[in-house]
This record gives sequence, C-alpha cells and structure tokens, in this order.
Amino acid sequence: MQKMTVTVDGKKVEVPVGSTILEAANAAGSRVPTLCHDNKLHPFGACRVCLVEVEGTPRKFTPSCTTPATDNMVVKTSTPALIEARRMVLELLLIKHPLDCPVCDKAGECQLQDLVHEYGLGQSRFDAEKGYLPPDYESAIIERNISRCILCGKCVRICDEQNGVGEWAFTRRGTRARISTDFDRPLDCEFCGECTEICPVGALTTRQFKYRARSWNLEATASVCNYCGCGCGVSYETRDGKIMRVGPARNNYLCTKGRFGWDAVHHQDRLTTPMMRVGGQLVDCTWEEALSIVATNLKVIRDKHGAGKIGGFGSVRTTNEDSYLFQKFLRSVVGTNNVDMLARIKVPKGLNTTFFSGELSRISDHEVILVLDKDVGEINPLTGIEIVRAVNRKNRKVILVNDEFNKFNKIASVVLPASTDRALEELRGALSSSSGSEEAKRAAELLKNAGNVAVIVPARLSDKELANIRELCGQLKNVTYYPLVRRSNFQGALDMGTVPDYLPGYRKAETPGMNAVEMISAMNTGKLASLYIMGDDPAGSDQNLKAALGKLEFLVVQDIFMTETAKLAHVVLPAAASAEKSGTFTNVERRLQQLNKAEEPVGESRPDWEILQEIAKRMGGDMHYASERDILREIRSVVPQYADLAFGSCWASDKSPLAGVLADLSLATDSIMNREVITAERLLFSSGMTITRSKEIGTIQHVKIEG
Amino acid sequence: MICAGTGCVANGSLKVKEALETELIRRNLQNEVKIVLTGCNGFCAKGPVIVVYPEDIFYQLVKPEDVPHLVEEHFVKGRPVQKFLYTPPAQKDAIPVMNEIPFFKHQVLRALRNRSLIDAEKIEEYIARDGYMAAAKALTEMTPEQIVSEVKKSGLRGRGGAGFLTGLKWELCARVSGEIKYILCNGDEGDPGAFMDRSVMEADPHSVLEGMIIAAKAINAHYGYIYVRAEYPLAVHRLQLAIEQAKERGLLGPDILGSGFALEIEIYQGAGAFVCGEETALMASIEGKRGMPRPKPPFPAVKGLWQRPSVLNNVETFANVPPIILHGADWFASLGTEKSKGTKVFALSGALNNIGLVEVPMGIPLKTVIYDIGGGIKNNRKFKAVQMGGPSGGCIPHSLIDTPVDYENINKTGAIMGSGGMVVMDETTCMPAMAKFFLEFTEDESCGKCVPCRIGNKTLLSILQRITNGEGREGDIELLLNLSQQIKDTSLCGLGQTSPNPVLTTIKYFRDEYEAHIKEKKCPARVCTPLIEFKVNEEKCKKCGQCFKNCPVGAITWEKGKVAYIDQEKCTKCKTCIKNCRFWAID
Amino acid sequence: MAKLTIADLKKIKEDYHQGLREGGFRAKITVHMGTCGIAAGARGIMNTIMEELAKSNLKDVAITTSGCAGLCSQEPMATVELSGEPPVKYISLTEEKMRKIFAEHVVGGKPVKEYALVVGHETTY
Repeated sequence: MQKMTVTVDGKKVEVPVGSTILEAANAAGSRVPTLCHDNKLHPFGACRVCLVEVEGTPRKFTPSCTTPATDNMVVKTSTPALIEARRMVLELLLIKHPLDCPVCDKAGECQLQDLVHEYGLGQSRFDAEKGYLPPDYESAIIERNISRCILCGKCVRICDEQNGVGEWAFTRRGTRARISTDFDRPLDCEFCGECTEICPVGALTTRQFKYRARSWNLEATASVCNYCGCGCGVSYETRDGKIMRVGPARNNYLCTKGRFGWDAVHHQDRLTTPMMRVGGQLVDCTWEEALSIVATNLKVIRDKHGAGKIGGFGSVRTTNEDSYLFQKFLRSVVGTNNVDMLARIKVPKGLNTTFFSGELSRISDHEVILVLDKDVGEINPLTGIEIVRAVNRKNRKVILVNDEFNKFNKIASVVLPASTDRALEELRGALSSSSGSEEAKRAAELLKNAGNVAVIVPARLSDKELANIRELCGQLKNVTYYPLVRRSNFQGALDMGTVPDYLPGYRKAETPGMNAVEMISAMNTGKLASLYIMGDDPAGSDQNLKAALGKLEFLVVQDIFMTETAKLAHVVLPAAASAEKSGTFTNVERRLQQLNKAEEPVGESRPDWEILQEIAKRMGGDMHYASERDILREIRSVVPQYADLAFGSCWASDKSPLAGVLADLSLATDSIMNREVITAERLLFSSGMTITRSKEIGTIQHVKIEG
Repeated sequence: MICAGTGCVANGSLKVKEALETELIRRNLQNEVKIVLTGCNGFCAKGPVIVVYPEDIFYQLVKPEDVPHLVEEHFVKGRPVQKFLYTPPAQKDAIPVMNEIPFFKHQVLRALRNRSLIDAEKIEEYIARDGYMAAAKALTEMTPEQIVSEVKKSGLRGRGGAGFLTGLKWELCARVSGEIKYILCNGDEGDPGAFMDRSVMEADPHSVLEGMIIAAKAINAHYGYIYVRAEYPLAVHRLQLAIEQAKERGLLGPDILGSGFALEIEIYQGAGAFVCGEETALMASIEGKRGMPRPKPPFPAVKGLWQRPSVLNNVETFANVPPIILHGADWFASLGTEKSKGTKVFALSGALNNIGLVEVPMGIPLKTVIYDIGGGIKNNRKFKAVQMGGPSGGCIPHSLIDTPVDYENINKTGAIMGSGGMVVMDETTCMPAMAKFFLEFTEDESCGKCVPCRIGNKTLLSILQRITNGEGREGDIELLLNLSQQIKDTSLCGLGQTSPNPVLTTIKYFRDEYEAHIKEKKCPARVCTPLIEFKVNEEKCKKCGQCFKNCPVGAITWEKGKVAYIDQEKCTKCKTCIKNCRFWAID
Repeated sequence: MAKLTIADLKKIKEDYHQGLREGGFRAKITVHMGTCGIAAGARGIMNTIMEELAKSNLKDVAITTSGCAGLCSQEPMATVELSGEPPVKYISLTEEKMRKIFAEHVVGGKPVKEYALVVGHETTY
C-alpha cells in the first residue's frame, strides 16, 4: 500500500494514501474530537468539532473527517483558534440541548457531555432556549427526544448506509430540522436499535433500558447471541447480577433479536424446578427425584427393550459442550446411536458438504453477490447487513432474486422478479446460451465478468434447485457460498456428532442409529419406547407429532420453557438459558465462539451438560467434568477440527472429511421443503419459541407490516 | 462598428469596411480607430450602417466612395457628417435615442444580447442572430482543449457569485477520465432581489443550451441537467420548448449538427430551497436526495452528480460562452478590468427610480450604476447603501460609491459580486433591521446540517432581534462580530460561510446605528417600532401638517402654524406619519 | 423535422432577414413578456393589439413577443418597428395607450412621443 507522510502537531506519521486528516491525526496520537463521525459511516462533515488547521490552505479551518490528507501536509489540531471554534460549536449546541443529564439514559456515555466536560464550558454567552419539542413515545422499543438531538445524522446514515432501511430522515430545514420518519409516523422498521446505539446523545434511547440503570454502574460480560447462525458478539450489561441491557461486544451490528430479545430469559414461562408426572399431572419435584426417575426408567427400558428402543433429539441452541455430552451420554451411557436433531429436517441439502459458508465480513470482498433468498435479512440479519455494506461501502453489485419487494431491491444492480426456482433456470439459460429476459442477461453478464462471486444459498432448497445452483456456480469463478442457518449452534451440534451416522468430528459411526425421521415413525409403530429431548419442541412446531410423542413409554424433556412438548413429558428438567451459562458455540462460519455466564440460572435450572452428567452418574456412567472447560478440552482431543482452534477463529472447510462427499447432513425432502409454511408475519420478529417470549419484541407486532 | 449582418453585407458593408480600413491607414489613424464588425443592427433598410463610439453616432446608407469624406470630417475634424446621420422619419429629434438615455447608454449586452430582439419560443429567431453558430464551430472545428483554452483565455469567471474561472473549472473536469460526465446548469436563482437568470432563461433559453453544448464538448459530457426552481414556471416552459425545438432540429440529441457529438439535456425542477443553489446540494437534489451540501473535496469536477465528474455553471455564465467561441477570447477580454473580464448582468431593485435588469462592463463605477443607469434614488431621498450579493453579500455605503464593480474591488468592501442582485437602500432603511431581514432569510433557508450555520445564524438573529426590539445589551456588537467570524470560519458550505456578511458589513459601515439602538434605544431610520416614541420634535417640525393629514386613525392634532401633537392613546404605531414627514421630525 | 446542418443554420439566418426586409411585414410589434412584463399586464396589451389588428384588417403587421426588456419598473413595454425605421420602445403601457400607439404609429406611421421612451437598438457586444 502506498504511504504518505503527514505532520500532525509536529509529529511525522506515515499513513496509507487515501487516509483522511482525521485518520492521520489518530495515527499521530493527536486527539481530534468528533460528534458526527463514525468509522462505519461515510464522512459527513456536519458537526464541525473535528476542524483542524492545515498549512497553506485558503480557508482558516479544515474538517478533518472529510478531507483527504495529502503527502507532506502539515496539520495542527489544537491551536487556541481551534479550541475557541470548538468551544463555540459546543456553546451553540448547548443553547437548545436540555441538559437533563440526570434523567437521560445516555448520561455517562454521552459524547456531548464528555466534550463539554473536556472543553470546560461553563457560563454561556447566549441565552438558553430549552425544551422546544416534547419527547416522542409513539414507536415500539425506541423513544425519540428531539430536544436532545444534535443533528449529527448518524442514525439517518446508519439506517441507510448499513441497514439499507432508510427509516430515519432529516425533515424540515434550519433550526426546525429534525430527524424523523415519513410524515412523523411511528417507526416501521427492523427495530435493530442501531440508531440508539450510535446516537452520541440521548436523542434516541431504548424503552427497555429506560431508567433501568446508570451506565457507569453496569458490568459487561462478553458472550454470543443465541438467536441465529450468525452468532454475533453480545455484551450482557448487568447490575447486581441481573441483565439490564445488551449491546454489541465489539462495536458490531446487532439485530432486534440480539439487542432486545434477551428478556425472554426472564419470561414467566421459564422452567424453574424439575417436574414429574404424577397421576397424569406434572408436579414440581426435587432434582434428586427427577434425576433418579430418569436414570432408573432409562435403565429399565434399556434392559427391557434394548438400547435401540431409546433415542434422543439434541438441540441446535445449546452449547457445543452440551451437545457433545448429549451424544456421548446416549452413545456411551445409554448405548444407542439413535441421536439426532429435528432441525436437520429443515436445513437445505448440501450444507457442510457442498456449501461451506465463507466469512461474513468478507462478503464485501466479492465483486458480485448473488442473493438467492429474498429473506436473507430476516433469517440471518447480519448476512443481510454485510450485503448492504458491500454495496454502500465498496460499490459491489448485487443480483437479487425476489418476486416481492424488500430493502434489497433498492441496492440491487439487477433484480430477477421470479421465484428462486424460476430464476435459477433463467440464469442458467442466460449464462450458457445468452437467452432469457433482459434482467437475466444483465445478471449473467455481471456473473461472467466477476472475478469472484458470493452466493447466498436459500434456506429452502429443492433437489432441482440444488442441482441448478451447482451447475450455475460451476461456470463461475471463485464462488463462496453463504448458506442461511436459522439456529445458533446448528454447526456446532453437527461438529459434535449430534447425528446418528457421524461421531464427533464427522467420523463415520460403525452402526448408525435411527435419524430423526426414522425415530418419528418408530414412535408411531412402537419401535421407540423412550425419547430424551434436549432443547427442542417438536410438538410446538408440528401439532401432528403430539400423537406420536404420546405413544412413548417414557419422555424426558429438558428445556428452558414449558413447551408444548414439555407438557407431554413424564419428566421435565429445567435448563439454564444461554445467558446463564458458559461454553462455546460454532456459528455458520464455523467460528468457535465463547459464551460467558452473565446471570445465575433462574430458579433451580442448571446447564444442560450438568443435568446430563448427573443422570449419567446415576446410570453408572463415567463422567466427571468439573466445568464446561473440561468438556471443551475433551472435544479438542476428539474433534480434529477443534484441536487447536482458537476462540474467534473458523475451522477450515477443507478440514472436513465431508467436503465434496455426497453425504448429506440434511434430512429434508422436496415435500418437506414445500410443506414448510412460515406462519409468522415476519421471520425477524416472530419465528421461534424464544423470540416469541420476548416481551420487548412482542411490542413490535402492533406496528403496520409493509406488504 | 460596421454592421455585418446579412442585410448590410448585401448592401455592401464589407466594401465600406475595406474603404474605411484603407482610408484610416492612409491617414495613420489605424491605431486610434478600431473597426468592429457587428451582428445585425436591425436597421437593415438603411444599410450599410456604421455606428461610431464613444459618441454613438449612427450613420446610414454609407457607400464606399463616401468613406474618405466621412473619415476626414468625423475622425479628423471631429464633426459628425450630417448627410449620413440617421434622423427619425416623422419628427426630428423627438424621441431620445439610446445614447441619450442613461439607462441604456452605459449598458453593453452580451449575455442579454438577444434581449427584446427575439421571440424566445422560436428557435429560428435565435438562429437568425447567429444562434448555434458557436456550437457549430466548437463541435466541428475545435478540440476540447481548444475550447477550454479559449474560454480560459477569455477570463470568463463564474457569474453565479464565487467568480471561479470557468475555463479552469472545465479544464479540471476535462482532465478527469470518466465514461459518464455531466454538464449542469444552475438556474436555482434564490437571492432576494435577484432575477438575472430568470430573465435569461425566459428571454433567450437557447443561449443557455448553446453554452451547455459547448461546455459539454469541452469536458466530453453527453448528459446535462438544467436545475430550475419551480417558482419560475415561464422559464421552465420556455426552456422545455427550447430543448424540444433543439432536439427536433438535431441541435441536441445523438448527433448534433451531424458532428457525431451527442448531448441530452433535461430540466430538473427544484422545490425552491435556497441552499439547493449550492452546487453539492443541487446535485444531491437531482439525485433525489435531501438538498444538503456535502464537504469538498471531493470536488464536483472529480465526483459530482452520481459520483461522476461534473461541471456546474450558472445560467449567465453559459449565456456568455457562445460569443466567446464565435468572436474569440480577445474580443471578450476587451471589456472589463484586469481580473474581471466582460460584462455582468445586475438586477436593480429597491429605492431606485429604474428597477430592472442591466448589463454593464466590469469595472464600471458603482455610482454610474446607481445614479445613471438606476436613475438615482426614488422620491428625492438620499442614497444610503447598496446590498450586493443577496443574503451572502454585504452592503456598500455611500462613502464607497466610486468602487469599480468587479470581483476584486467589491470583495474589498466586504460585500461580494454575487449573482448580481443589487438592492439599493435609502435613508429610511435601518441597517440593523436590514441585517436582521437577511438573517431571517438565511436562518430559514439553512439546511440545518452543520452546527454553526444552523444554530449560529439563529443566535445571530436572536441578538439582532433583541437589538431592534430595544433590548440590546452592552457587548452585543462584539458578540455579533465574534460569532459572525466564527460562523464564517467553521461552516460547511457557502451559505454558512457567507451568511454573516450582512451583519459584518453593516457593523463595519454603520456601527453608530447599532450603538444608537443599543445605547440610546433609538432607531435613527425610524424603522424599529419599539424604538420609536411617536413624539413630534418641536425643533424639527415645520408645522406642515402632513402627519395630521395622513394619519389613518386621527391620532394627530394640528392647526396651521402649530406643531403637531400625537395622542399616544390613539396612535397605532403604523408609522404613516413618519413616512410622510419630510423633516424627520417624529422621534 | 429534418435535422439541421451547419449550412442550414446559415440559410435560416439569411431567409429570416430576407423575409423581414422583402417579403415580409411593414410593421412589427414586440410585446415584452418576461415574468415581470406579464405580471405588469403584458397579456392585456397583447390582447389589445390583437383586437386592434383584427379591427384594422391590416395584413402587414407582425406581432411577436420577447423576454424582459430590462426596465422592469416601466413594464408593460412594447417595441414598434416600422420597416426601414429604427424601433421605438414604449413604456408603462395601458390598453388605452396601446390603442393610440396602434392607430398613430402602426397604422399612421407616426410614433407617439409621449409614451415612447427611446428609439433605436441597444448596444450589443
């Protein structure tokens, strides 16, 4: 990279060509204050506190955030004139700013407060004019206090440049200018809350955190979001051991679920004590009673029918440690390979055999992004954000398949207004014989000329579509796949061997057990007598399964909520939620991520692995893990991909024994794919048993949903 | 000047020119007398026509053989030759000719060259006055480099206000490589009291199109926009018509005049925000975004409309371009001062006798514009100051009336040339109130993006409001000066960087008026109602009774020979008495 | 409409001047119809001229418009140009004045001195 030399406050620094003066100043260690600048956004130049003096320029001051540095430029960042100018800007801002810091949720992390403090502003030369607009409480989740707004435009820009939503806009002019929605209606957006996060003052705040705590009293615990396969880093901010709010762990994006959905942890439906069925009723019992009953009954059934009549459904939301112990418990303590996850029925074929996900942050490295699933932003919000960023920050081209209309239409270079099935056919035709619609031809042109292509693989995929994608991508250069994965630790559960035919690390099982589909039919035919379900709710997602589950001699459900399935169980074991335990997840990128406990488990609930270990002990199993760390140590020794995988790194797809093999980790069939009807109004807000128990997100449903 | 319009040429004007040249050389006058061939003079029936400047003597029906006699009499002896003098047919010396009317005498029409001569809705009439010949020349005989160099050499500067060298602007953009470039015309004239561009667009829309074609060729742009405010419906209509006619005739479109050069021009109607006249805001507006300026760099020549290299020029600038191409840079530079070449169009308004649109050579004394062209101040009042450059400009007081009107000299006064608005004020104007008026405008028109402009101007306005309300405080003048300078230094775009100019210049030249408001709580111009007592000053009162006669509410008592008296109970403070008192006798 | 060439431009120009001088009109009346003129009542003046023209049955009078003549405070304005004579600019017109101008100047050939501002052409270039 070409470098240039810039002298900042007498100090020479080398910075890459194209750097702004602000970047050069930062490199030189000179502090230049900013209010409207954020590295995530295009420079804006509105607040005028980042002004500096540049030798040899006609104007007295130069905005450092927007002006490119040039070779041999000489910059001063803190002359008396500059200090005076910055003080004036702050003084002007304070004319209207209400100074209601004692009741402002932003206090303590307010950039205006900090700057005014830093510049020691006291008495003002100007008469104050306070409180000219009342706060706006009309929207769900987010509150707007226009009087506090300094019009830095960060909310407007992040909503547009990063989210592609553009809900906020400037309206009116001059002193009457404000940030607002169309015609001042309540917010109708993705409710990600990024605007509240980036707001430098208390103009946009969240209702969830209102008057909850002072920011300086909060303790942060870095962990991982449990809501989808993206696995965004979250920071649980607690006071006295209770979560008060959730923010990004490393200045990263969070969607509405990640930021606001954590309150499901405190929902009244949480299981707090073990329960057992007495006389047809589930009643509270002690852990000792529950554990003994489970251990005894499993032993009895194994002795009576054989271990082959016992099975287990693992979870796609529990930690690697939980999943590892689950399959180990079934395989080595109960003695069966009948271990599987129901989620496999709904994942597209080819995952982890054809489609290994690339790193999300590198989507924007691709010249062309082929989006085959219009719901990408709802299923994996971060993937959606990366697509928007690729366009807005790097001018990448997006080819979008969408038979409806959503935010991606606005940034796409080509839109194929067809179903994925039709669009794939068209694209194939246009690529091979230059036939088809204008759009298809333009898309084919883009694809052909691209040096590399990112393909967003649809969440639902028929066999024909799979074949078409393979053929299509065979003709393109340097394809990276981005499959959409709904559940947070689906990848980890696969890696941990929560499947009948593969042991941890994709070693082939010698005698494969029944898979999920087979187990369901076995329940109906009486070939399965007992089922242990950890963290899943088959009855909740498919009413028809209730009958099959009812035929079981003994059903154990281990979960965090009283689910439809739990209601059918003989024993219900309360598990700790992800915020209440430590461990690891492996996200869709195959990135090993660390969860840290932010709260004590509610009631008597316990981490899944602990429960499993207790039952194993009672069944005579040899399990003596002192903590989840011990389990991870064993995982590292058993699963080659994890052997020396550092936290935060992804295991390489070529380390998978299944790469390119025709083995399929999906149990989906065309009929399942076609039958699956998404009942939720919007996947983003209401597609899951946890998120529907978030009180905060529940408030969104009253807002008009765009057709 | 010898008319070389088709009519006169047919009547032998070129032969007259040759004869004149020969005769001048014979008498060694070739350096004293310059021969210029002009466009059609309109007196075709009396051609060949010769007009001699500076006297503006009009000779008609001149034949080559008459030339020696004419030169002998006129140039050597200084006597106009009666025989060839034009005399109105019906009455002798009845109606004054152009040169006898100061309003016309000092004007030279270049940008307005077709004023009152053509029907703006008929392209033939434009073509008949050499229209599109410059475009033809630029497209077929000149390289982009030659066009740029000619315009640079002419010294033409942007007529929108800032006065950047047009040729240089084009050169910067021409140098940037880019498949798609845009040529943009700024017709978002928004200064209060400015209507130069409107008039050009209404009266001569093709001159703008032709200028744009030439500029497009210079920078290699094939798309253009004219940004016109929607408040100019007639301008929009005539431009639209002009574009359609030009397209039909192949003067716009894919292959202009068979040269292979393509240019499409579209009109974009602005919604009337003043700030959209700022170039980056204007481009944002065309892009469909909020009309909000962005910092430069990157400059529009590199990244303009839709991030493509773009050149934006003002209407009047474009109208100036065709004659430069047709007659050359030297011709253009023959008028004006060292750094300000050519002519400038001004919109005269305010307390002048002649309100209107004038085009004068750069460097003309301000005095000439105000007293001769403008006809002096209405109602025999005294000239106080002229506001130049609208809300971004400043006032120039009577003491600087001899200032030559060019970019440098106007800037020295603290005002700016601006786009050409001249608002003339007489002694009944209160300068703090005038500054307040312009601040009200900028405060309202600020887009609100940057802090100094958004809140700073509002704060300036609040201070001016309290001064004109009689609530001014000690130190307010210093506060105004300090804040004004800071706003200028720290604002993002031209609007904020210039908006305090009216405050700064009024304080600079009329500080005593501010002091009177603040310290004595008096408004010397009797404008600020809260500062007027509505009492008759017995020393000044001439007992004429005008106040009594004009008071609409009967609050004044007066008898012949006696000082009038205002009943405070009945007075509604409408100021009618003040307006009618010739003696400033009401305090 | 056929696309023009450069030769066409020159021809249009010549035809135009030819037309004015020879085959054309004896008188030309230009009403200045910029926004300022229209606002001051130029449309009324235009209508008056049309009416007068219709009444007079004259066939050799051309009526045309142009933009602002520069002296906005004296609008409405009109210029009357008789063939072979320099144009006369009339200012601050009313319909009455225009009728008189039409009768005396356009029909009668004698400029109306009291309404006229100036005679001749402005200095261009």
